[in-house]
Amino acid sequence: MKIEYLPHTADIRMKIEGFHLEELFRAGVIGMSHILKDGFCNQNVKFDCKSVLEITASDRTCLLIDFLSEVLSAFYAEKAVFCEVDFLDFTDHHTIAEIHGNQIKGFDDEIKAVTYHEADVRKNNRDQWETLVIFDI
Amino acid sequence: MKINKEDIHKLEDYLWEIPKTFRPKMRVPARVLASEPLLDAIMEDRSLAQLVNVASLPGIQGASLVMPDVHEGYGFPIGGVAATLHPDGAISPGGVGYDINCGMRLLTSKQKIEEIKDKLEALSKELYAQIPSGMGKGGQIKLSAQEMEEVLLKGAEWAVGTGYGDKENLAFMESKGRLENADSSLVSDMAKKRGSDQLGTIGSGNHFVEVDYVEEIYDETIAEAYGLSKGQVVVLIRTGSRGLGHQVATDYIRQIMTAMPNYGIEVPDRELACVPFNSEEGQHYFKAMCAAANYAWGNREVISWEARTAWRNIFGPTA
Repeated sequence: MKIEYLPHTADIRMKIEGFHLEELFRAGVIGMSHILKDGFCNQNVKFDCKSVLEITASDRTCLLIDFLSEVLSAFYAEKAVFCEVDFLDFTDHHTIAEIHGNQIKGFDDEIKAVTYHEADVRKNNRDQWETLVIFDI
Repeated sequence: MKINKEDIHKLEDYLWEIPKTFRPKMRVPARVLASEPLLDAIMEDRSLAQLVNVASLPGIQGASLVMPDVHEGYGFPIGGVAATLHPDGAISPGGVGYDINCGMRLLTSKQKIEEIKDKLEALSKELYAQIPSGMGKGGQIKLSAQEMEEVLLKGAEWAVGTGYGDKENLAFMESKGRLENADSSLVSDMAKKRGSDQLGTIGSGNHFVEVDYVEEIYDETIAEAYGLSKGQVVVLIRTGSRGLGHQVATDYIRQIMTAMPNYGIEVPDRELACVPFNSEEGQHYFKAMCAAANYAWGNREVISWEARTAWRNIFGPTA
């Protein structure tokens, strides 16, 4: 799993990589968590909050962006940071995921939305799944 | 898509056009309001490619346009303007943006900068105390389900009716702070949940409350009409519909992306997803968007009340 933050004029451009698609999706969640609460997911704390999400989308890229959008909504609705994902079902067009995290008092930053802009889930020349994700902040 | 300077025709000193022959799917030309040096700067990002994409939207009229503050956005360039034919031209949540009814409000004061200079630090602390900012923070108001319905339907009128503002303020707002086509039932429970404790909060990013003063008057008549004079202190507020609006945009971009093929619409960028205005999906988005816009007006009215409270706490009850 690799998470990188690249330069962007006004918003946040994140590049994520994973050996398999599930890992790529996990990288997206962890990368988003770092923005909202820096370093929180590096702490070894017992999770006290979970949420189950089900997403259906037309392709892998939409599935990832829609999944991250749902996770973002859960962040704000539950006032929690989610660090771990268990996939109960996973195909190119559909996923059911259980996300685990902890409730917190406040975030470091705010993300308005996960955008489809520049997102393109594909395999790179090192046979890893990768994509850019742009957050509107 | 590469756009070169020779693809752009000069119509006037501050008006430039990419003709609709530039790309087969363009339905109208794309126009830029800018000086030549500004146009050169604009060409450094992908704003103009996005403007050309907007020119391909179903039902677009006249031209796709960008203002001098244009920069690259999501699907649509920021600072873009597009009008589509009623009733079956395109409506696109991406065109409205993720922060529905993000807007500005200027509050005037009776004070001059020289009179308040020594109290600016105290004022700044009091503004911070009264107005929650940033990080998905909640505010002082926790809306019940019934109150949320009223905010979504009445906008700034709700704030005035509940003591968070004065009726005379409504006359100074766009659409008097309320869009009548709002339908709160089309706003998702998740959006309502995210907005339930954010009324009266600024948010982060490019949102702010700042204390300014009028440094120079360029047009006396306009300044007088706005009640502005040299040296006068003002408070400028910029915010929108907060998490509620972000969620409405996210919900409907996804829905409209799914519905779009049913209307035979193809767009060159996912964020341009659109449907005919008079389609069921188009009407649902429109009415939910109006509700989110009302929330934003309510938000700015409550923030204005908070700013006025901070002001009075520092300068006295009659300030």
